Amino acid sequence: RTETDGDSTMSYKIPIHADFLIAYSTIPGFYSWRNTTRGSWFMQSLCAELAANGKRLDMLTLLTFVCQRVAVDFESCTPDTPEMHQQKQIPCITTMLTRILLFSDKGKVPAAGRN
Amino acid sequence: RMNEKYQREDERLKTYTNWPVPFLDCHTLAKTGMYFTNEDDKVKCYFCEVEIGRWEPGDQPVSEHLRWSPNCPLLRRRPTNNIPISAEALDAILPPISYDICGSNNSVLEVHDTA
Ligand SMILES: [Zn+2]
Repeated sequence: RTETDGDSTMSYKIPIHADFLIAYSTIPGFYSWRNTTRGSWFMQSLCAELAANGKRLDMLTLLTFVCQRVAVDFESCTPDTPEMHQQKQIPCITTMLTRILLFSDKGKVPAAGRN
Repeated sequence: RMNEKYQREDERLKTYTNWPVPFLDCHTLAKTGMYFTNEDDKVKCYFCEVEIGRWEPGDQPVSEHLRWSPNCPLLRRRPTNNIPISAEALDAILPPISYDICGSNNSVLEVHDTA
């Protein structure tokens, strides 16, 4: 199925499944780690990245750096359970976006992307 | 290679003779694993080898340490060769013990793929 956009004289269609973005904390079939006092690795990294670059970087670049934080900065620490100790994690970004997504301030025009 | 003597808090404390950051307590830094590199305002943790500099007013030694090195064995209260000046004083300043968990039950973890 498709739905239409724009007026009738210059109309075009876009897929109804376009413009979704799903950011998973981990890849399918794998565990997602959480620290009991600081929260999950993914949310710690997502909040840190949004706070640091949320208005500066487009969403996919930002999520790449979230992946970098989770992948590089974290390793499980469960010395009582050796088989779960020192394990890693990588998030999984599934994007169906058709444009650059940027949380820019009003009046500032994003440099990248066609609009 | 790091000097072995920095496993001792009293030796770490001695490195702060020319410490340039008046608003950061060098006793807290030394207690929590940090010795002064004598390079700008950079300190280094003997236990996780993280280096932190460019301190700003309001920065807290322990929370910054944990932020840049979430798995520091000293801060995570894991067994180390640290020789504290006062074990009680160290215990009072370390963050509460935290666990990394995944899945529904952290006490009975099934062996499973992790990323
Ligand atoms: Zn450390």
